[in-house]
Amino acid sequence: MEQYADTVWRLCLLHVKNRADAEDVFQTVFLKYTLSSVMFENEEHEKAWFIRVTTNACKDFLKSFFRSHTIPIDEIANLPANAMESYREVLDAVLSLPAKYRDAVYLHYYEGYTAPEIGRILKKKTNSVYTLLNRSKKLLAEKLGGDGYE
Amino acid sequence: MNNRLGQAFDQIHTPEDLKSRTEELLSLRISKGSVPPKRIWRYAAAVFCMLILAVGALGGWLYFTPVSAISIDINPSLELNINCFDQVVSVDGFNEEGRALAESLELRFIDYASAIDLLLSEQGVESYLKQGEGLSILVVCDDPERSEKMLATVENCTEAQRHVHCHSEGSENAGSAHAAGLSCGKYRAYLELYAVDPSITPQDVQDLTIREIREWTWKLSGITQNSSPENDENTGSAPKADATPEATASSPEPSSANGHNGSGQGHGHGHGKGKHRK
Repeated sequence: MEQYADTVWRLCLLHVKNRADAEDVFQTVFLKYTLSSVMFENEEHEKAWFIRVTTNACKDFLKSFFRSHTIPIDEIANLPANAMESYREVLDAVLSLPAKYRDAVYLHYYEGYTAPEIGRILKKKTNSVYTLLNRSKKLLAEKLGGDGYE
Repeated sequence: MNNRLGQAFDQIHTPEDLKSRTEELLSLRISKGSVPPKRIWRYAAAVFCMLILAVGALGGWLYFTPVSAISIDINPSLELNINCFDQVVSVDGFNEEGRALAESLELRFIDYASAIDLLLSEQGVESYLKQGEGLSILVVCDDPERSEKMLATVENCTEAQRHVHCHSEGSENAGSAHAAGLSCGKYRAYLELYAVDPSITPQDVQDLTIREIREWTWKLSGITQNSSPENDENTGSAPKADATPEATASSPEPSSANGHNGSGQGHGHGHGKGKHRK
């Protein structure tokens, strides 16, 4: 769990935002992992599995009847209380992106995946990923000032 | 900005209490061996599908596995292989006419009584019957009860015909018959002939009709045409054991020619002619 917990948690927060719900999704992902019979070829494969299952679990959660009828859509992100103000600004900017952009931004800028790799993990076309990244770049530049986004 | 994003995400770590709670939850689930409801349904569906497949495979195997056979010999010589549902699953021809007849009629996947009706109404077979050729129908089955039932059905199907002999026996001779290239019915007739003249081989009778084999047998046994039960026969249901070749000579093989019900063993006696090849 130690190895992928942070990746899963960050993806949960990118989508679910509410800590209690994010915890539910987090536990669901690891429960799926424990019960899964998938044979992983290597660590990369395993990590990609976690990313895909987490994004799907988040989407399922957001689609659920309970969620769509009880949670306000503009809920405040549950970011670490001790996050420095400058980082908080960046995270807020990422969280303000449309949902479909966030995974690509996180996977590209933080996890270091290329667009084709992100496409394979998220089951999207490479060109679509490039488009998502370009648009995200523009939006983030608008919010945070364009310095060093390339 | 890449750095800023990276550093910002670096600020986010999984809370330790969440990790420990998740680990507890997972160990609890593992120790309980509990399976989420979705997965139970998946297993149930898989088991159900396997069950359906198994039942289908068993049904298919049962359907396509012959448990008995009916050997029909007049001049066309063929065997209907019957499954446990009384359906014909395959037809084997043992001479040219038999093979042609098997191909010309749709005998498969119908019940054997209908198949016999179809065969008897076939023009060629009808003309043989009109010519007075003997028709031998032999039920080959190892289950006495089933054999008796099949024999009764076959006799019922042929009661309107003359010169028809119905018998039944176990499958003990089937292997030898097929190895000799003969149907079980013709092999049975051959065994009767063999009993009176052991020098006769299956090849000698291969091209003969049932009637010719019998006439040969009667001739060698010294049975005259007048004493032949074929003069008043329809079926072999009334054995006249004392007059049959089997009553006077033993079979070349210990297990041969043992009818379950002993019926049909009093076949006609010589009509005084015959294309005897020896």
